[in-house]
Amino acid sequence: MVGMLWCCLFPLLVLLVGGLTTPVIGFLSRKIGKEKIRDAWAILAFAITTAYFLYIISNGKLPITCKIKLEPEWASVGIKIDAFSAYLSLIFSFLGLIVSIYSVGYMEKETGLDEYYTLLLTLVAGMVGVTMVDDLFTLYVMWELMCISSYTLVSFRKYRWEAVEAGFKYLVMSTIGSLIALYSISLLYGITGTLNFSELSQLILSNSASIPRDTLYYIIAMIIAGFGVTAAIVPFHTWLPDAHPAAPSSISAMLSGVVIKTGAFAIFKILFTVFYPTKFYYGSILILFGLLTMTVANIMVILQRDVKRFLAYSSIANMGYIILALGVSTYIAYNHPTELGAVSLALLGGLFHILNHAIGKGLLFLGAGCFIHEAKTRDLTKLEGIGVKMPISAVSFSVGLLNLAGVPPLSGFWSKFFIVMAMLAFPADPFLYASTIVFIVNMFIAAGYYVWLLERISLRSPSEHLAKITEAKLSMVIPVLILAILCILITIFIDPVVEIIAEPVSVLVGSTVSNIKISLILGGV
Amino acid sequence: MKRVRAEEIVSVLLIVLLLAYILLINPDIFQIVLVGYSLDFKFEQKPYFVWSNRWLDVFVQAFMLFATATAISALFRKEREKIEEEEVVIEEVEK
Repeated sequence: MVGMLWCCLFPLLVLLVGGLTTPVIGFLSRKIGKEKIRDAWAILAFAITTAYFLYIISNGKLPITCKIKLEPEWASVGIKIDAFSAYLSLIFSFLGLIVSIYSVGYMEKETGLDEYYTLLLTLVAGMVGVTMVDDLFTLYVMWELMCISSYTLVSFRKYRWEAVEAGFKYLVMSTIGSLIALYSISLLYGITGTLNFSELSQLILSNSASIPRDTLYYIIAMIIAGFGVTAAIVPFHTWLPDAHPAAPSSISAMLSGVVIKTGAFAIFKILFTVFYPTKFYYGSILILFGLLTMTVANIMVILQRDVKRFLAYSSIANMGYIILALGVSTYIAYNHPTELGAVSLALLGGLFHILNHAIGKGLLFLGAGCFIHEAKTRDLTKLEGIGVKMPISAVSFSVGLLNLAGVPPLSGFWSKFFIVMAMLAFPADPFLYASTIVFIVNMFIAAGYYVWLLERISLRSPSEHLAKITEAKLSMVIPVLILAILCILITIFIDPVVEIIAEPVSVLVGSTVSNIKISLILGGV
Repeated sequence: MKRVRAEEIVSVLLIVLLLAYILLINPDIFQIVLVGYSLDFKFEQKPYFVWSNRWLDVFVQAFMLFATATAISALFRKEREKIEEEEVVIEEVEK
């Protein structure tokens, strides 16, 4: 039992102890004049965590559970690493690893790097912790650890008004969101007397007649609104277009690639495990939120001149796709409870898009960081043709753009395709049919502006402003290149990737979704 | 300026209307019906409770304090040299 406990806590401990010791390592490395040792220390912590999650996923011995259990039993803390949490934790720690490598060159001239790496490690520890816990209160504690680190990382360049303003706005909005979520958690505790996920679902199911239905729906609304602030669901998204451009590009990649996904994770996890989609009707609201989010964001993208603001709005649009996938799966589960295949397909699309967007948007923000680092501007009109001067960064950036544009056969196409296929499984349902049309129109708008950006960055002749620009440092280019190669590798090895994602889907649906393969889905089409 | 003031007034009115809806149309919305464990457990009678059952929360909260201290330290740090800043795109605001 003790062995299992440490096995569960190992990734969390590596990240937290890594964060705790980074200032000490930083101090010692400055004493001997080799400051990069501190950077290597942080990279090592991320590498160990990534390797751990890769190992447990490939080993197939999930879930790993343990309970810190004493009397009374209902108050015990549980830790559970299932396929869903391991999948997301792998994405979080991998992007942390890439970002920490990138930061070696990108943050070189900044001061306070001991604090920077410490906060990066505690940020990822918080995110990994959110996915691992089996208890709503501990989830909230982990959530706050993540939030505190991210507020400061947004304002890290505190010598600029923009960063301070964006950080403060993020702090205020996210805190209000967290408090709304905390209120819903306290209501759940007040009703059931427990915060353990499985016990909560059992108690709510077995007592659904005695608990006022409205109260439960208000709790669901508060969970969506509370965690929806971090997930940047419209209309709770307004912090994001300010925070992403103001933060260092490495942090923008973390925020856009994974932090907003943690909000989506919390909504997925609580709705699927506590409020069974077959018993509660919230699918259509989530679909409407998803469509609203993607439509508003896609319109706003077109108006942007700032490359990071452009990417920030497109992140909101992509969160719309993910929320739509969640909405479609819960809508189908409620209205067509026997159609588990369609529920699974929508979830598969949503979870696959989390992976595609994390890698793709991480790549785009890091790539944009390379351009901005060299050209000293975020203005798209001044960055035109920079691809000619920075070919490796530009080619990698273009791969990310094409992937998120959903150009076949890249993996970004498949995740959207799965969602559309799940929606089209019920052609007689007018709501789903109309939603599909809106979704497809949004996909085309998004494809249009990604290709437009690609043309401006990579295919135009550079202006005089870019005359002295050369390729970014190797430590910045390598992480960008790795992510671009990964986009292509996921496309090539899409069947095994989809099989890995089928496991978290089965955790959420509660049944084994076996043999999901692209060929089978295409056969079904 | 007038537009901003009008937006503020509309926002306040909407919030008031929402609260009125919750309180007047459905006043028992937050009525708590206890369905779970009987809450005869008194935390103050078992002070070891937090350290034995919820030590993970306490452990992570200690790291939250550490992260907060680090965050404050990061925001009050001294700059070593003048860093060349990137150009910020500022859209013209309608007057």
